Amino acid sequence: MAGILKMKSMSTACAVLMTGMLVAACSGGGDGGGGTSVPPVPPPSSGPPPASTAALIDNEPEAFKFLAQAAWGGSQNDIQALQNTQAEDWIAAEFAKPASYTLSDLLAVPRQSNGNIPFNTTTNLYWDHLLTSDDELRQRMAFALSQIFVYSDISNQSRQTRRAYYQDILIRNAFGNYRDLLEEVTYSPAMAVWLTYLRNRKGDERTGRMPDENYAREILQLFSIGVVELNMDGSPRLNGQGQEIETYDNDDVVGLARVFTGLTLKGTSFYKSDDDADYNRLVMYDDQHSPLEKVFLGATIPAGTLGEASIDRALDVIFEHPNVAPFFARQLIQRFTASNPDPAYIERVANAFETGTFVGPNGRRFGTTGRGDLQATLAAVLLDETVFAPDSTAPGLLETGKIREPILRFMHWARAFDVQNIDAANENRLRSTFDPVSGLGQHPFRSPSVFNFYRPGYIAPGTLSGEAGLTTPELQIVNDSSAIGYLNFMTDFAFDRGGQKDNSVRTFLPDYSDELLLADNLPGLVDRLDDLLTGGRMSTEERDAIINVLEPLPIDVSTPEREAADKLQIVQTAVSLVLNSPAFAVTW
Amino acid sequence: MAYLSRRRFLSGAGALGFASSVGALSSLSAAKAWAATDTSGYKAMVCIFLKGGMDHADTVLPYDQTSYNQLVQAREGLFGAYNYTDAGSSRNRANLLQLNPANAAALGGREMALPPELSPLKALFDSGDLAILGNVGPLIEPTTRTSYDNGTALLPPRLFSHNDQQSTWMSFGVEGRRLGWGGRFADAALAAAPSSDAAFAAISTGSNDVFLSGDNARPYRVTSSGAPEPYLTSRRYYLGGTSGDDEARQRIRDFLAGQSFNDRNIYAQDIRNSNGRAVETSERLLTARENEGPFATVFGDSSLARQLRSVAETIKIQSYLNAPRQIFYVTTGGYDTHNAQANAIGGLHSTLADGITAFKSAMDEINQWNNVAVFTMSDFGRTLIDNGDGTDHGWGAHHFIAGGRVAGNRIYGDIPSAEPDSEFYTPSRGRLIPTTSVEQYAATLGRWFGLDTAALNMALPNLGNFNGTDLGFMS
Repeated sequence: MAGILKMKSMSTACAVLMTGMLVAACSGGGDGGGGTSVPPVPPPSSGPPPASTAALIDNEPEAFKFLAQAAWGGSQNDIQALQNTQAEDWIAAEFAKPASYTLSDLLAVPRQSNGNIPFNTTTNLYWDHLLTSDDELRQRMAFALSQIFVYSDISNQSRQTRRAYYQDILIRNAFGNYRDLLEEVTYSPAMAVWLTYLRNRKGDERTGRMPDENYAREILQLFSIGVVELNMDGSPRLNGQGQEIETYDNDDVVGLARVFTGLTLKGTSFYKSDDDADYNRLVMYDDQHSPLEKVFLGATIPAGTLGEASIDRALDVIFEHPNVAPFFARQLIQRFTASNPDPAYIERVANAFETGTFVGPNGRRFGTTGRGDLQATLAAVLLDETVFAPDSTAPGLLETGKIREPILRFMHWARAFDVQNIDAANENRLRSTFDPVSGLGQHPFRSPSVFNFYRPGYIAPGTLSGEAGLTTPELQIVNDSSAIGYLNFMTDFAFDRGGQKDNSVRTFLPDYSDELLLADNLPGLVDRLDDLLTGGRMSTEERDAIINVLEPLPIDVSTPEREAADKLQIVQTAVSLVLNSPAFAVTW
Repeated sequence: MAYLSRRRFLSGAGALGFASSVGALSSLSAAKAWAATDTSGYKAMVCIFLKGGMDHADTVLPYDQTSYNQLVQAREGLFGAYNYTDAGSSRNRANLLQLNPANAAALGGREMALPPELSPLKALFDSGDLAILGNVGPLIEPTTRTSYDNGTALLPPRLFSHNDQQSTWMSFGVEGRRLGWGGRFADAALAAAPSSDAAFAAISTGSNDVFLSGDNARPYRVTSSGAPEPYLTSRRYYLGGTSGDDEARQRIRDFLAGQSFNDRNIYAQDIRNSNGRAVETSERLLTARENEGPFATVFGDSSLARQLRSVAETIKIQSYLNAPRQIFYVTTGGYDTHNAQANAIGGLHSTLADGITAFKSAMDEINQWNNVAVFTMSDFGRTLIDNGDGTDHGWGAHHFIAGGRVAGNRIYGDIPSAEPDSEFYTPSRGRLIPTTSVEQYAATLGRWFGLDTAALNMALPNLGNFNGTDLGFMS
């Protein structure tokens, strides 16, 4: 049975929804497609045409949702600031912001006496960076890319500049072009170590030694084309017998493996690297590069082609494969807006990737770099008609929206309460959030393998969504223990008890001043948190149950200090429980 | 030459696809076959999944001089990295631990050995508590080099791909499958003992992989302390000490455990259901743990050892959990040894051997060793031909089975000689073509676990394509 959405703050929403539906009908994006459609009403002849309301943010729930999808969530002020703005204007402004990088901060950190960077500095600074940098969409995109072009420091956290240099590659190319990104990833020391092609040598006929195949396989399977041929809507193409068609076989991997030979760290020889080699582009040694013919994906790189030219050609061949657009589009959608993207949505985003262009509802053009343009692709993800469409009123559970990965939820808490004194180095619990019981089951740039924390095609057993055949990547790291682990992690931060390295320095302090004013008005408090943390999506049953839970908590008014402490406890408890609500976990 | 036991051909076997069989049976006959599962007494299966693809040829090594020389020749770079001619090298033939299997005659004069880091497993092998199964891997039907080369063999899709072959080992299909054979075995036991607690039939210490997913069985994750509790209700540190605080704690507990609200969104509803179940299941497990104290056995500090300790602790309280059949799933990583294999694999081996040994010691303490079967699985074996200092993705591999009812001190299956151009390998790189299917491996375990032939055929869709569904390593 469907739950009941509260009608509070819905009157404006309904007006918008109706306008939205009219626009949808005008643009032919409504139901059915063919048949008789109402012709658009021409605008009045005087003055400029009215702006489209298709992606107009004009109520708080929409502002909440947009910030959750495109940024790291926001505070009440952030929500207010978005009122009556066009989503595409916000996106364009984000595209125009200067990028903020991470390596320079790391290099500025004083070294220890042994010359090393203090342990865990890169990952601490990354948390701080995500929470404080102004280029939110770029950082969100880089974080999304980190889950597609997966590099992980799980097996080596001592070479910290490698990771920071890699982070910056994703940040720099987040609004660039896929082809450039693929090349920078390929030439990065971090990836070369992670996928074992650093100092990968050409084969040796005498000993039978063959080039390492690791990167050749994973660049195809995970970073570019995937294992089966796809239609533009992400569905598998079928052959005459109704079977899926594999994109490559082992011979392709053997052929491509020859391409990724001869790369090493910047230095004085193949085996001797410079001190700054971890944060510089890899260098090709042609005498270690395979001189053989390289055949893969139907292309042939002639025998004798030098290393960099071989890589250049190979990346072109991969990039030109028609799978790249739908393969990348589907995963990008999953990272921002939908756990189980609709095929038509995938196709629209894939088309933006393919043409390098996306036009917003108000005619703004995104994309300047041609095929593979990531601004066009990302704008298509965030401005899609389904993202701004009203909820279906059909009976049954809604199948739209995205389960937000735990890191996004933690970030949202911090942004929603405008957390101050951000210094992850002082927070023991942020050192590694990888464990699902003591942490979040996820840590930035610390996936257990190149297959990310979860797989894009994961279907959760024993769930309603699984029964319906819906993909839910993020449920792959949810289980009975992690459910409580997540609640506890968030409770620690909500109560400001994250376990501080230095107790005298209070870090990650949430600003609950507006909530404290409502501590003696429990319905008002829970409604406020509902608006701030779920966009008003919590069911009335859950709202009432949380109020019931809070009622026994005392407020001792005998002294101002006791009163303040008790009120704070009420707010902290309420925040913890709303952070645990499925309506906070899922954005729809 | 040098084939342990000639593989048998199945004449006229119809080629069954992976998608066949299970779905075709009516749920009625399925329920009937499941219900015949023997659930008397207590039995546990413990799968240790070696993530990344374990290099079988650097785990069970040929020992007689001729066979050893063949291996060295095929892996010049890797053996060079081991400095194998040095007297102290772990891969110097003199330092390998020669196995003296009771079925030595089946080896046709060839001898096998374990590397020194596996000496604890050598001891278990010698005492008859451990068996080796050679060259097992995913197959749809019996497959030979000829049928592989001429394309007539029906092959599992996406060979050599990590995630897909992990999935195939666990569920007989590429990534995205819904049911694993561990979960199916648990389903069978639950159907036969309907009053048992489904929450504790399939238990993971780590990842949510498909192996333990069944129709009724769903993987439950245990932790080093058994199960987590919400801080808000379990730690007085969070709320105050007044009666109002205590009342709030109780209400929070009821709120968290009894979440029956209807959500508007399907994903939200799924998370809601998971949250509500989590609190109640934790409470049941923690209540059961109050009945037993710790083991005297000291487990190591590795992730694998800690996971196996959690398994042992859960088996220790099994009588309070109302779960006469349990399947555990433990994972350990690092086996994707594309490079620096000589530096890495010794540590991996030690961790594996120490973990299994500690687990046996704990089971001995509670007299359960005869009721457990520990077995390894992995993505795939690795290429016989190295890439300089590592190896790449292969297919067939050798695996270990340990337990009190294992017919140990024996090598089952085949351990082909290290001749990459021979008929035992795919044409390039020397990838073993499996001669025993994962389903035969699973069926042998499943029969011991209590499933009968009909139930095994339901859980293992291609089993009927193979002769010999009991490999004999369980007694």
